[in-house]
Amino acid sequence: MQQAMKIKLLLIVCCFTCSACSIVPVKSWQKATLAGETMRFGGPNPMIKKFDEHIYTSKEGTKGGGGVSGGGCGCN
Amino acid sequence: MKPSIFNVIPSAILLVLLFLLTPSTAFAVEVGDTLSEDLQKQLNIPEGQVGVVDFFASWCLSCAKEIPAIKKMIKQDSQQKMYVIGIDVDEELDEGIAFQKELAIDFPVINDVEQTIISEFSPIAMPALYYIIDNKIVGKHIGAVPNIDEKIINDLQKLGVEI
Repeated sequence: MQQAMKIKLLLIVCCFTCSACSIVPVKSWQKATLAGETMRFGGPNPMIKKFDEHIYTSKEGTKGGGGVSGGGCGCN
Repeated sequence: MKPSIFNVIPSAILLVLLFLLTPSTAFAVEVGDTLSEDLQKQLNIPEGQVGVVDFFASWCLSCAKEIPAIKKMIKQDSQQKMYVIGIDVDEELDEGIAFQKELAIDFPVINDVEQTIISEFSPIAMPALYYIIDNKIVGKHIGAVPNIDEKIINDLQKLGVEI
């Protein structure tokens, strides 16, 4: 019986632990911060963005993928 | 009786169900639903007119692109069959008002700073448009499309409203 209780307790702890890690999705109308200039690759300064892109291109051989089209509102 | 893992399976199932059901989804109005009395009062759509509710925000570029087309469409509606109402969901009132001034929005706008109205509609993306007849949601249009004015007129025609 004691072992069963232990397993139950373990399951309860697992559930609480998992729920603490749960992800709350951002709603479409809550994306003001995500759409901000500071959230862009390289930040709001276009010069820094250019340098950042240059570094990635020359050091890692990658290009693009630093932004999304649209206003970050989840629209087309 | 020797304790076994099978003895705790019902409890485990119950716990997992509780875990899954706890973050329950918020109530959202859908096509076919009637607006709550609070929403009816807030939107205040005149009787006999088709309500076109447009959700927008200053940070939503697609919303900004659509608004001039909506303004053009309102001018075409000489018989005033439509009642367009904008819901600005900006959390910062100043930003919202500046955006409305910048685009010279001339239709009624509710500043939903607390985002209570949009929470009731819960669109999956923005911009979001809802068509309301007699306080009942009869259609919706989610996401950005070019020539939204033509799209709205076509949608309303399908609903039996000629603009």
